[in-house]
Amino acid sequence: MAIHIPRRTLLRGAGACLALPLLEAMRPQRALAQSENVQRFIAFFYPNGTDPRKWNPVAGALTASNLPECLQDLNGFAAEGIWPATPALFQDVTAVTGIDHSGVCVDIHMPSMALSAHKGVANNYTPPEPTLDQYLADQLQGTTPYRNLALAATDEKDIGQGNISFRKGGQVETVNRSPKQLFDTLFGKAMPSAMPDAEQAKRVKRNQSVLDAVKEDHARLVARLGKADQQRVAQYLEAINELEKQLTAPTGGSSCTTPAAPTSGGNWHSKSKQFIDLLVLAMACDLTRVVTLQYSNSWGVDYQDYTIGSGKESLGKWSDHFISHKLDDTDRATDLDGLDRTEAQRIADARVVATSRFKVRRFAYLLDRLKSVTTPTGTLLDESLVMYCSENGDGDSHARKNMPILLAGHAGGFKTGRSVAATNQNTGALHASILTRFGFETPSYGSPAGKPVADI
Amino acid sequence: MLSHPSPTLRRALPLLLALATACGSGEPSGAESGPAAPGSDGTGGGPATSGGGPSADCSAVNADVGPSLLRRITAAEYQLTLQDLLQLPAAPSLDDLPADTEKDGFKVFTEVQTVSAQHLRGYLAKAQELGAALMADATRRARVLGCEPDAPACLRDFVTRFGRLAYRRALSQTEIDSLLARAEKDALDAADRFRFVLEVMLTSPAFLYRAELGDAPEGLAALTATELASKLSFAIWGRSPSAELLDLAEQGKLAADQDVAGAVERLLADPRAESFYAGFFRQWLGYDLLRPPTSEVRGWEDALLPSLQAETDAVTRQYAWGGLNFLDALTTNRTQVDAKLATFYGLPAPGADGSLEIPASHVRANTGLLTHGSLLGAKSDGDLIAIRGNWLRQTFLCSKMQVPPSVAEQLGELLVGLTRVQIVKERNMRTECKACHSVIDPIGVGLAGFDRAGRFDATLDITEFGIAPALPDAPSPAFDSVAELASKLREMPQVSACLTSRAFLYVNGREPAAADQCTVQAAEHGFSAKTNSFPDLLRGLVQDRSFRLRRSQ
Repeated sequence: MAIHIPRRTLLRGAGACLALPLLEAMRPQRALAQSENVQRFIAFFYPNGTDPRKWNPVAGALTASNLPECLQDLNGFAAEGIWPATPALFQDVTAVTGIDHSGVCVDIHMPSMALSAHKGVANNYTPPEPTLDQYLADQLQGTTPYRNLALAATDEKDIGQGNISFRKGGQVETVNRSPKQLFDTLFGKAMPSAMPDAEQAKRVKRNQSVLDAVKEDHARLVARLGKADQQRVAQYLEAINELEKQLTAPTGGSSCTTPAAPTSGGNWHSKSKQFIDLLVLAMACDLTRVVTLQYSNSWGVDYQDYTIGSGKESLGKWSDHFISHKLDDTDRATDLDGLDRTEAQRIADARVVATSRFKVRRFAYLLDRLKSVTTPTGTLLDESLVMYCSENGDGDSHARKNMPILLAGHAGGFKTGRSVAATNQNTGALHASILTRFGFETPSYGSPAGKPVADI
Repeated sequence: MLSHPSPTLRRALPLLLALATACGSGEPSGAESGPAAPGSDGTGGGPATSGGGPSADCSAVNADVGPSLLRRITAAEYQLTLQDLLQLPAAPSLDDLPADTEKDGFKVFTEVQTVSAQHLRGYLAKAQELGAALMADATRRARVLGCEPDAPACLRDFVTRFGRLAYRRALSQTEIDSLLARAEKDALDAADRFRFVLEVMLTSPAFLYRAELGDAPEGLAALTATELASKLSFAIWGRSPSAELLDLAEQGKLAADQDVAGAVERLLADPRAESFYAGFFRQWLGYDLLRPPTSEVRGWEDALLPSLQAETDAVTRQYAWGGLNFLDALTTNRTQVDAKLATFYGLPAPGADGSLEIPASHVRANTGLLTHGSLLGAKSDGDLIAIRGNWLRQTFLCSKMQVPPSVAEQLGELLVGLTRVQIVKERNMRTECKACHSVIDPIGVGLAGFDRAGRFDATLDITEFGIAPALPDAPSPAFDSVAELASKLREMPQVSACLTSRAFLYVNGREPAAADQCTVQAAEHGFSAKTNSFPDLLRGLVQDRSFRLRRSQ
């Protein structure tokens, strides 16, 4: 599906379209230094937790035979619908069990707190400090054009439900919710291919002048403002600076290809797949090193496109949210209401295993794509730490304990193929461990604070 | 969680409330606050008396205003303003612009509206697209530019005149000269100079931020006349002020109270007011985004979604702008539906214009907005009893609830084995739960005969919960029909207070603070002391002296 275009063509194309559309300024080609210690972070969010009893592996080495029910597809799975078959990946994954998120997220179903290690403010749904991805973004960006990308396959715009990435001061990160728009941003629209260099230079100069002019307007405005407003419009200048970097930073990457433009529309699943494909390409082209992907908000996603389970165990039209609630909530799959209690429980449990396995398969797809891209030092997965996370632990009870955390990839020499018991250690401890992996000195982190988990 | 009334979040509420049966002991049962009591910080424990709040001494001569941040124009304001500035036949699409972040179902909260690189990309792309289209359209170009592009001084005239409209103030000579110099030096050719100017202006912070700053950068400041013109226009039309309104301001004709009142009347009389406030009703009542029901509903088809929205759009428009008593929208026996929706509701076919008098025997008779499928059906996921009860109090009484974290922490532990009916009963008996549930569940039970799509289902048994339908906030709570519920609600003064507070939010991009209490009280009084006319409510908000003030945060 991806159309392979020599890198030079891609870059020339990007450089040649300054007039329209927008500011696809010439990005000088950068020979990616072989020795550069490139590190990447990706967060993959899927709502409604899991059944920790059937997700958490026992501490120690993961093997094909000891994977818990929910994780068994880490041993490979067949193609289903839009998703291809994927080989065994459990040796690239480390499960972290028992993390307690309840001190950070005091409310149920709060995706906005999923990547925070600091207790929420403003009705508990706004992280007061940068979320994990944001904390890492400045550190990892290097010379790449995009400091970070925040992607979400949900159209939900509510601050608590449709966002997982927050900058300092509770500033919600702008989320890209359209694969097509992301494609246009990263890879440009149709571009005139042949334009004399002199003509290109004029266009670069023109567009830079537009940005310089608005920066002058910004300075004039700031001069009239009080302190709080000055702080507020600082984000405008930050945005201009980031945009300039996006338009002028050199790009490289030995596996950089440009894909076909994705079609618009589709449901959570197809949008998420398009986002995964694009984020992997963005990484392959070294356009960015930090990405968050929110698969869905808490309520919407269902499995109607898939045949999962048979007979009574079939997921049918029920939403992931309803299935996660098993038997005793008003938000439940009511087709089990009339059954014998034991039988109903068995089926409800089986359905949660089925949805959890689906979630893990989508995570595995991301890992497999990253692993398929070679870099000067290995694969994209070798350079990355990829985190699976959710807003709840036990989806049935809404508990934010026993969070389903998977860490994959080998950034910072991370060791995979394991299960680490971090029983009742908090999210601060988890994030402290991850930050330490990325070279931050983090003896303690978060609010409530935690110390790095031994073995991560 | 209970403090978020957006449609989607409303769907989360029931979980929490249902699970609150498992609350531990010794904790506050719930926290509640209401914007109807301006200045409340929302952290008080236990259900508060709604609509109250300490009464401020509003007789003082000095008007005051709550602190605010510089507002970025919302996506909707950006869109409407571009339409006016470039004299487009329709509002331009916003495809490339990030959607505004929502909070409590509203898209207007200043505090969550940001500017990012992605926004700037979108603004620039839109300016390029619209600039190119303008220069290619000779007729429209002549109107917008006011001169031929190659005429001497045309560019300078354009920068001066268009810049004043875009920045909502006259540009300084330095601004004009500097932009002209850039355009002449860096644009690709003569026509591109105009496009260049448009790109700068439509991406500039002077355009994107509403600099209604007044005469002092810190503390309390009085707005300048042009800033007042801008604020009025955004408040009523949701867009930049017209050249005429800016003229008045610059000529000193927007200072005296009667001048402002005259300007307000002209703004209110224009169809743009009605169109901007259609967004208010959708955000306030929570039906801007509807989704199909999550379980099967007899007679449902997705094509009903726009019909449902159209019904509420029409009824709110009629009662807000048709010279009627707005509160009658809560109890009216008339509606505006298409044939498909009438059938779904089990109503007779409407007249050719869609209007319909509901038969007296029908369950929807005299229930006004309360039985609109757009409102009942928006809450399509979750425990409808708690959701609807909470939604009704939140929407019409501005009563917010929040389960204390320590109680939320124990949710889910004790649920196993309880049926839905047992859960509802249990949460209305346990001390730590019933303080909140006892004020919302009786409302929800009264509406429980309506299914997830908002269709009345006579087979649903609402007696199984053992809770009698009631509006606990009302002086005489019990009701036997939704019409009676509507009527009781209609008589509660908290409804006017709440509506005023929501309109204040829509106008100001923030909830009323303590310093706004007198403004809100006065506007509410102006509304309820007369004929509950919606335009009166807006008049009260924008003609108050505090509207001409600004306090920096």
